[in-house]
Amino acid sequence: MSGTVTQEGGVGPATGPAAPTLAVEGLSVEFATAHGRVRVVEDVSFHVAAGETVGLVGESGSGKTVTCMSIPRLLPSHARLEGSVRLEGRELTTLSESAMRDLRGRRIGVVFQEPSASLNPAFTISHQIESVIRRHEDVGRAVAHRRAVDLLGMVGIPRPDLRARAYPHEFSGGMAQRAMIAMALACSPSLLLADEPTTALDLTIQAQIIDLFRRLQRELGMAMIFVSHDLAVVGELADRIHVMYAAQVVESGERDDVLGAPLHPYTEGLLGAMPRFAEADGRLRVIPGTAILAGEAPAGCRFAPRCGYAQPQCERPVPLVRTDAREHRCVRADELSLRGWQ
Amino acid sequence: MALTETRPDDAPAAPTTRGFVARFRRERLAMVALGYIVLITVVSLLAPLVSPADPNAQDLKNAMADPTWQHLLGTDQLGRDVLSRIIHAARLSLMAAGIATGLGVVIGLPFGLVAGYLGGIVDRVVTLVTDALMGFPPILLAIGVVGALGPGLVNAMIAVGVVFVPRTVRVARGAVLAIRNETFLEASRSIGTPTSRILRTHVLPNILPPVIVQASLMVGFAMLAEASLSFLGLGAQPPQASWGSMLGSAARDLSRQPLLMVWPGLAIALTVLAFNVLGDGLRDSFGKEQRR
Amino acid sequence: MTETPTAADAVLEVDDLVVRFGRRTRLGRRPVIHAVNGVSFRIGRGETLALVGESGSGKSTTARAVLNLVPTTSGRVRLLGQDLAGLSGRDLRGMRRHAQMIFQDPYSSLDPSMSVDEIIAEPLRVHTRLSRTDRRARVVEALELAGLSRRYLGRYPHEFSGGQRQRIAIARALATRPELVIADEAVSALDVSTRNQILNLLKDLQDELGLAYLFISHDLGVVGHLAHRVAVMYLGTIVELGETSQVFEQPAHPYTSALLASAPSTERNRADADTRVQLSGEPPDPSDPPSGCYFHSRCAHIFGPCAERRPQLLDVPHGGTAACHLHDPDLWVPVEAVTSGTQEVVVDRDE
Repeated sequence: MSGTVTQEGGVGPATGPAAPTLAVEGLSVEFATAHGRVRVVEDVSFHVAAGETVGLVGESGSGKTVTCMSIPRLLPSHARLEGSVRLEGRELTTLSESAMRDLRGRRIGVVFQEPSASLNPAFTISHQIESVIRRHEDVGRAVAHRRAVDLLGMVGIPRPDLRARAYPHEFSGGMAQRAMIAMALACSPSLLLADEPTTALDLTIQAQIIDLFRRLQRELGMAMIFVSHDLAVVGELADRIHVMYAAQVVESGERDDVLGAPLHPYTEGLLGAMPRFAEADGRLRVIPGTAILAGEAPAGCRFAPRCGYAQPQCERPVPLVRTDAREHRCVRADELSLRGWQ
Repeated sequence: MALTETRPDDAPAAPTTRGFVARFRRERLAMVALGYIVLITVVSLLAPLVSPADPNAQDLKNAMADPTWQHLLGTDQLGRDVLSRIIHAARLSLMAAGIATGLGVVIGLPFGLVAGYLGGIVDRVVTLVTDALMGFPPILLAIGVVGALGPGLVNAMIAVGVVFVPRTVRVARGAVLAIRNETFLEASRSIGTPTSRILRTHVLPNILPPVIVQASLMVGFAMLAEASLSFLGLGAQPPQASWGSMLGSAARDLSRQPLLMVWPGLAIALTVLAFNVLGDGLRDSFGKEQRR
Repeated sequence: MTETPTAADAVLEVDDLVVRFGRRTRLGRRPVIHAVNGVSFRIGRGETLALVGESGSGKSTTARAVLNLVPTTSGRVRLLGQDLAGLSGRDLRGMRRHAQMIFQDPYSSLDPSMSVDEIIAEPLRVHTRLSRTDRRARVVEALELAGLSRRYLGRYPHEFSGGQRQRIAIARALATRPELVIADEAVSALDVSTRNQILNLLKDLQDELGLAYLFISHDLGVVGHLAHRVAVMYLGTIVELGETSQVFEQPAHPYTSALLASAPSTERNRADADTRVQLSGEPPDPSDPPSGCYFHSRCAHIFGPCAERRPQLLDVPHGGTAACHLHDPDLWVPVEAVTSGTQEVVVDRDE
């Protein structure tokens, strides 16, 4: 089992208020499956300050989505959570379900990948946004409606007064996603979680939504967590990036550092896989093998079976090493000079 | 959601037990039901060897006797050994139920298959006819068909089969619709596979699970239907005896020997229950293996 | 091979392809979806042409129309010189052995009730009269070409990962030794490391077998790497066509520029993120195409004729063609080419 070694300076923002909006420490999540209990998230820690965006990057099965969804505790019933999640100083893991329900929507907003799956087809957009507002605040319908219209305008929906009365199926993908963002922001949450919000969208719409997130965060100053398998998308928005593999964080740090000078071979692999870094003969760079299932993790470094730099010492469990604002999980980090995004 | 790469390319995956059999083994109740069904099927086939007495041997002095060691289930109105009659009647009852179900599936499945896959006017016509047939209460429809064909076990089971056809069409059609938009069908079209082959090799195997479940449930109903028709005198005619006709004649002498109703009634009830349990077990064992 | 192939060595020739779908509403009116509105292109032997576009661009419908999986409203499709329109059902099916398709979702494009052997053998059973042993040999050959071991023949799709399933799909596509393979977002559903493996495989197969590819994708990076030529589609029309590197470096159509600018890039310094070409609005509804140039409602460079006349594909500096009035020599007196949208376009209008 890996442990964490904390050296001087925790992992936190270089600037901003002393107490981060969100503080996750030692988060682990286990699922009960047909094959026994499986750890899908292992010992993840990070902070998000107000106005800051943290990007969680990884491929399928890395645990990034479960990590994100642990915060509002939107996990399947057979999941078990360990560790601490503090939102504005308040411990979330021990709260009752009804207390959590109060927080969701009010202090935490969530944007999912598929707007068509997350919006109720039986109600108008406005109704759904108003429901969120009136669930958490004591306002009348007229006030709630006006706020819903304002929110739709804020997220860039043209003629919000008209579109508010539309049903989800009348919205295109991009519009529906904007509507969902509006819903997530309805009560001015201090934390916004976005789980692959642009993956299902067309390229130009994705660009619009990314720009929207950027603008909204500047205007509203929320703490934001952005989950994606696409390093480039995360790179557009994140101030800090955490790279996950097989339930663990393998690298984290400031965006420019992680992308420019990665410390972990997996990050290097992800960056190198981009087509512009194809090899001279035209072959795309490949991370050999395939991502492992959380339950099949080897005892030592989990990436070692696929790592081109693996050595015998990699067969021993690898702790997460923290230096200043950087973390990495590679015993050879000091020796290797990995290629980043230059 | 599952885009997970789950296995390294060079190591083969878990062995191919068609997991269905393994899963079915875990359904205890269904296994028991299956065992029972196999048992009575074998017994019915070996009836002459297994039954203690000649089912038609009359002994009027000993009519409607209570169970004794000689006649474990007693005797009926004509002094015949009830146990032997039950055993011999099993064959008829099971066969009748099988015929009815078989008829329903053999006719209903192709129609449902074609209607579901082709859609359009074919689907509309088939659905119209199916809905019309389903509008009749099943027993009445069966009685109607028997009325047209004349009494007799075979006719009775044809009637029940007719009742089953629309239900099977519906199940088959629904199953086809569920997979109609699957990419592998489009892939087959892109390969150039003719429609007949697509239906036979792609659609049919993938809709069998719900159809099989439906069939096993229908057998139970067929047995009840046969019992009802024979009870009404429209099914098995003497000297043939099915459980239903035994039930019918026992009802007439209920006051004198109530036990005579119990044995065939119990046989019917247990067998129908067994088929229902089997159907449930099959349904639970199917489906989890399909994709992802 | 980067020039437009001549008729002699063209594997696929598509001319003025139009595909329209009628849609019935409750009122009996039939709003028509203009999925493909006059598309023409050629693919030569051993060449990759990419169709790039967003939702509603018609790229997938075009691919399906080429294989006659959707009915063609008008236009001509010639496969290996053979016009597909005139063919009887039987002959048409026979032509399919020359063009095969790989689909996007590896989880639903393989029949879960069939073994790998049966899946790959299907095209052989349909198109050939090979004996069982010969057929098995061909299946193994295809399987190994796709990078899988023959040990997998008896296994079923649910035992494999997404990348392996796509390999099975590729093996199936190769079984009849087609000249053309159509890949419809074939790697979009895969993780990045698997995606690269499959793309490398496709490239190797092209080199080894001389395959031509019609590669449909929304991922510009992948297209830039794999495709010799690229056609950018918008609302059922090709708005730009040319050699990939040229088109990406010197896009001649405003939509192409916008697409290129939209691709997320970690290189871009985030300080100037707000100054890139912002494409406002939504892709238009294929059942209600705008008048004139389909793109004019979202274009930053519209002028006189854009709202009235549909532009034809015109020659542009990079050697290809683009459907944009800006390049119509009859309409301007010296003009700067449209590049990344950060330059001013000077147009001397003719009105």
